[in-house]
Amino acid sequence: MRSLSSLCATLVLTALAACADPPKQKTDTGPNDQSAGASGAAGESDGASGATGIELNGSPQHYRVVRLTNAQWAQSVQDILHLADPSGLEASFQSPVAGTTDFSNNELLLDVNQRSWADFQSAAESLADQVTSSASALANLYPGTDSSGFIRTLGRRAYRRPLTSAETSAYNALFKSGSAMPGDKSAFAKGAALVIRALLQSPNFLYRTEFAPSGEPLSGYEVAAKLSLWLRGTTPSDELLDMAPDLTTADAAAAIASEMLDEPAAVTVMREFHGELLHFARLGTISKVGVSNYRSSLNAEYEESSYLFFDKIFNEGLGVKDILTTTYGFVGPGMAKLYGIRQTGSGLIEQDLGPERVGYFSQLPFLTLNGLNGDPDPIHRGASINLDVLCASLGPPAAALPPIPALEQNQTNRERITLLTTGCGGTCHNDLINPVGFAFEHFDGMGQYRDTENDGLTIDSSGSYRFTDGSKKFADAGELMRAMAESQQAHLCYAKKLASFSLQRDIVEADLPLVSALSAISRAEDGSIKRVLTELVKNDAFRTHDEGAQ
Amino acid sequence: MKFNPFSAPRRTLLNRRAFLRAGAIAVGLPFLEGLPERSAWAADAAPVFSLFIVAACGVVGSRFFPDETGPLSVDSLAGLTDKATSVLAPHADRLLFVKNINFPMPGPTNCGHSQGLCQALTAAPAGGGGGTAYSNGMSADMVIAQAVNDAGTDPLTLYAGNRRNGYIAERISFKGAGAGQVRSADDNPYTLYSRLIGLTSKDGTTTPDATDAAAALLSSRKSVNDLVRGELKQMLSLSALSAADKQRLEQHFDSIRDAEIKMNNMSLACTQDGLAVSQLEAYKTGFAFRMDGMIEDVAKLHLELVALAFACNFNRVATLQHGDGTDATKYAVPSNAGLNWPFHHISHRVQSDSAIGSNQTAEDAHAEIDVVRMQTLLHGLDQFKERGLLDKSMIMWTNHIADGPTHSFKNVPTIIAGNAGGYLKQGAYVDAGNVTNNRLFNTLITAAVRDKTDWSTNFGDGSGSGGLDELLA
Repeated sequence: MRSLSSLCATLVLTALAACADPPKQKTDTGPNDQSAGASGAAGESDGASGATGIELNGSPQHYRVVRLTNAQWAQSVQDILHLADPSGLEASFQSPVAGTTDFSNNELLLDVNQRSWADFQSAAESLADQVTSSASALANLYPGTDSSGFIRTLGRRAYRRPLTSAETSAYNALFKSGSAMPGDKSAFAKGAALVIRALLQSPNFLYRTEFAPSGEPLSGYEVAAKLSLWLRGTTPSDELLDMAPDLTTADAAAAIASEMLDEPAAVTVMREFHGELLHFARLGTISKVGVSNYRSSLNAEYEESSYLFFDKIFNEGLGVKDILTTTYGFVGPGMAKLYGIRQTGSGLIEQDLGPERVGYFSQLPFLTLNGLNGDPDPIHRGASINLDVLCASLGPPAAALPPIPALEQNQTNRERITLLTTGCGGTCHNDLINPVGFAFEHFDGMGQYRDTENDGLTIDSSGSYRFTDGSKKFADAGELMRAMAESQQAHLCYAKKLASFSLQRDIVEADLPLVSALSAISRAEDGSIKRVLTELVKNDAFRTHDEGAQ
Repeated sequence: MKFNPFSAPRRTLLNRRAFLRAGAIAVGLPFLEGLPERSAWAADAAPVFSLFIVAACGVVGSRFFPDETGPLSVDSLAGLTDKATSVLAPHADRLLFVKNINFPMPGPTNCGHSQGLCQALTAAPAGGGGGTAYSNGMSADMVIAQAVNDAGTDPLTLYAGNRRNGYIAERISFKGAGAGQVRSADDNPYTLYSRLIGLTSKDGTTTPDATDAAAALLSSRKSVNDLVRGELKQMLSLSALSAADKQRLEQHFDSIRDAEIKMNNMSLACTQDGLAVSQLEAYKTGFAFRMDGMIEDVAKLHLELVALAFACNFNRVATLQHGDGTDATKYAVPSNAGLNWPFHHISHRVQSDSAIGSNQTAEDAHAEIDVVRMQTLLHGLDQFKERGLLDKSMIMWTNHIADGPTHSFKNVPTIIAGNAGGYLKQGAYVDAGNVTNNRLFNTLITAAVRDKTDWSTNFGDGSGSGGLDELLA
């Protein structure tokens, strides 16, 4: 086995070299990791914006044709075809490869290839057959029997704009062709079925498009589609399409967005955002060895608790400051025992968790995920917050790292980790990862609060962190969270992530004006997520097509 | 003929498999068992079917292969009970074990798992690392598929593992170099099953009703496809589009393919016999991956379906990623009873995703897991044998690293089953001579495409060129 010093040198050199690799680099060492270091060297020049210190690199293509996500496709066909229930067909569709971009709705992942074409073709045929299977089923979709009206009505929903005369003619010809095909159905049903199949396979349906000249406002229909697919997860309603021509101004678009943000569908969309941002899926993979108060059934509570937390933040007009500083959280029966609070009933209930639990990251889900069995895991707690909440640039981890040695008598966990990582000389560990991780040392691997450790040793959770707008000292996790809430960095980072999810692309240095504007809203006294999103809709980055680097 | 995968235009043959993938189920047709080309089985141009399996987290090298190279027989391999590959003894005369195959990178520069995955089928150094690692070249499965599949139909791409964890899953099949070129894989076996079921029957016959229904569906598809193609052409003419937009729409255009009907009886091996149908049907809804060893069940189902897909000539190429880079499966092997560690930690010999330890019990558990994985491979080989495919196929099993503790890219375990139509040596354990895997793939690609073209390109980006004579029959 190589010596510790040689491993550490490798770690630092490796990280520096890897930072030059396109595309963006991201540290991600997975859960339940007992490693000496999660990352290599750091530095603000390491993939970070010189202006803000947060990481702003990626490979946006600024596509004008971005395929619907599987979820958008599913909800859209349900609404276009007036289906009473979800079809569920998208469950077998090809899924985007996760992990290669910040969010799975990134433009880079949304194309049509042989496999996905077969998915869409098959599903279109199945749905067309379903909705034309009987006269009553067809009447539920379109009450008339005129082909032109049928094509005009469904075409507008599918294309998210009125059909052109050429398109109408093509569909009329297709309808006629379908009507003449053999089969037991009525001529109208057969024609309608063929038209539905074509509509649902059309590139005008499968892609959300932005064909406005570069730098000029999108058309009202393009804005309506962008808003609806984003915040409602579906094709624009007939009512929204009626008002679409007027959606060419920032105020008009923002007004519609504000209404959408108060609808239940927006909560679902934001669940996707926060779930991917903070990796809630991993909560289901938590496993502990030799921890008497751990039950695998807790994993589901942790996951739902996390979603409910962010649902509330979004629904109640709260924002980043509240995410970082609220003492309230959602507690299930298993979690209540660990928190040491009384709770009756089987569901998850919102509770005040006490003054030690400041913000989401002081709650059980995050602390338990980033805990090694019963011990705290300051390296991964620190790395996760640096990456996901502060957008700090951390190089990738080295190929192999030494294990954390056993805790010695009269040694705190902090002393153990400090001894191990100080020897590496890694700037990121000493200045970025460790200070944040050590702030949570009062919480053990199960997230339970403790005053002492290792037979009565005093816990030191104090430290200082070099935020991009200055260093701040703190005594514990609560003070650190409040410092983060006041820092520009956490708001810039959240704004960057939110913009990436909303615009469906990587956010890079050229997007700094947008990110800064959103960050300023977030950092303000009433900086709710909804306000940030409304500001985003007003911004040219949302309402125009930016060519980007071609 | 010299075949260059990067410049050769896609063949324009009409593809009836695209039709079958969707149509049989979508419109409720009876079995369309006669649709695939019978010509694929013609004696004068015998097809070779290729399956590439990339398993996770290395093997225990000292307890995997025989200690010495040389001939393999059923008896000799079965006698090596301390070696994981002894499980494969029933097929010893159809096996080729290969030692001293290396990946192009001399060793990992950060996350060895992701970098290994990106090299396993590309023979090119990986770019980046961790969750965003990417390949620097097209993978061998894609090269072969473009050469042998009708209209360049993409390979089947399958995954046995936990996609929900989202860490270095689906990272072996690549369209080309650079970010965004990785190909998505199907994790639920029901997905492929649902696409194959329309091909199968008990007796290999075709009914008149099925023929008529298929003809009607095909005719209507042509009408729809014509309209869609027209719209794509119209979009492509827009001056506002970037080169990336045009490339995206052209890919879409190329993906739309008509089918044609040529009804012939096909292989009698194209039946549902041997499929775990009830298990597959159970995954129709609610496929929820568990970390309790379900991975092996899923892998077995995938292997059953690949064998069926090959027998039905649904596709000639497939990949299976068996486990993810940080595989969290908790295998119920004896030595893990006390540890209860996920596989990735076992492979590291310490309860960690990145640190390296030396726990002997973990090594024992890893060796036992190797046996379990060989049993899964054995199940697949049984399926291939039952369908008469071992003489028409090559099944390569490898790993994305050589072993867990070192994450080495040297002497990566390589097993080849099937003689690829008599082209490959069988019943032997050979030493490739410490070469990079580009030379392995030069041999395998040559074997796979030779009914369609000659392969003379040096695949990938390793050291040296040409094939490996040691592997030839």
